[in-house]
Amino acid sequence: MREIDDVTIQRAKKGDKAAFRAVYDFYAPFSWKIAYRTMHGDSQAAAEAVQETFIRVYNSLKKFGGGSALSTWVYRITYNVCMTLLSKKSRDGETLELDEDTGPTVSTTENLDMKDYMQKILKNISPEERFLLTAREMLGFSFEELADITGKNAGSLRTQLFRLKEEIRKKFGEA
Amino acid sequence: METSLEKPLSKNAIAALENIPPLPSYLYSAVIGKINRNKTITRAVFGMAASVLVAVSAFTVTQVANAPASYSTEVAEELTGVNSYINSDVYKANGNSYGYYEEVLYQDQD
Repeated sequence: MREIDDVTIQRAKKGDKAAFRAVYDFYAPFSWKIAYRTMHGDSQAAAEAVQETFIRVYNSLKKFGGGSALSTWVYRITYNVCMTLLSKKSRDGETLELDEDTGPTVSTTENLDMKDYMQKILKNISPEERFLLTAREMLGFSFEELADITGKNAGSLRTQLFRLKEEIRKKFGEA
Repeated sequence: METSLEKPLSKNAIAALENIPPLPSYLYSAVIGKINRNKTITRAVFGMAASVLVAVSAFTVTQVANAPASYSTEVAEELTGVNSYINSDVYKANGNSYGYYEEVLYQDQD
């Protein structure tokens, strides 16, 4: 994972607003992608998760000791916030409102089919698996980083993702 | 360490997965707005807590300041009692003994 420079982190820790803005600009796009996919394509819920993530980052940055990479720390917060929001929504009986159009127009029939396939796949897997698929396949996180973020064993996550991908391949042929 | 057995998803599948709208531009302002609101609320709560603390401290200080005065009153009352006993007939009838007074005064504590 890419990291912002240490000087900016130190300045942000001291309460420098411009440095905090730089931290936000650097990590928020990734945090957004994780939240968007984990919250199953609900823009409102994903925005709420990213907002809460960076409020927590702002409040706790002074305590960040550098035991892990800042990216891991930020994405762990995002992951935890998403899980909390999902369980809260589930408890309150709320359903996620999926976006009708998620981003750029897909032109070819093949891509259109794949987009539908992916929607079906994402609909039928757990939030944790959605996070795993996004963070590993799309953002390229290592299993060690994923273990650090989720608090689970890297080997178990590897097996979980392997099974998930096998299932996807069986269901949708190539995928 | 990645295994060679781990086959990535196809490019099309990843492209479909990456089909995500951009990060909303309003979000940073929303984050800062909420941080500032939280700060205002925290300051108000701390302000109220400080006011309560000051009021409680002032009350305690007043109580402590009043304590010696009431103690002095108690001592004065006791001394008045001793004085009137010394001047009483019972005291004189018992040979002007102060020890007797103590005996009478503290007999319940023995």
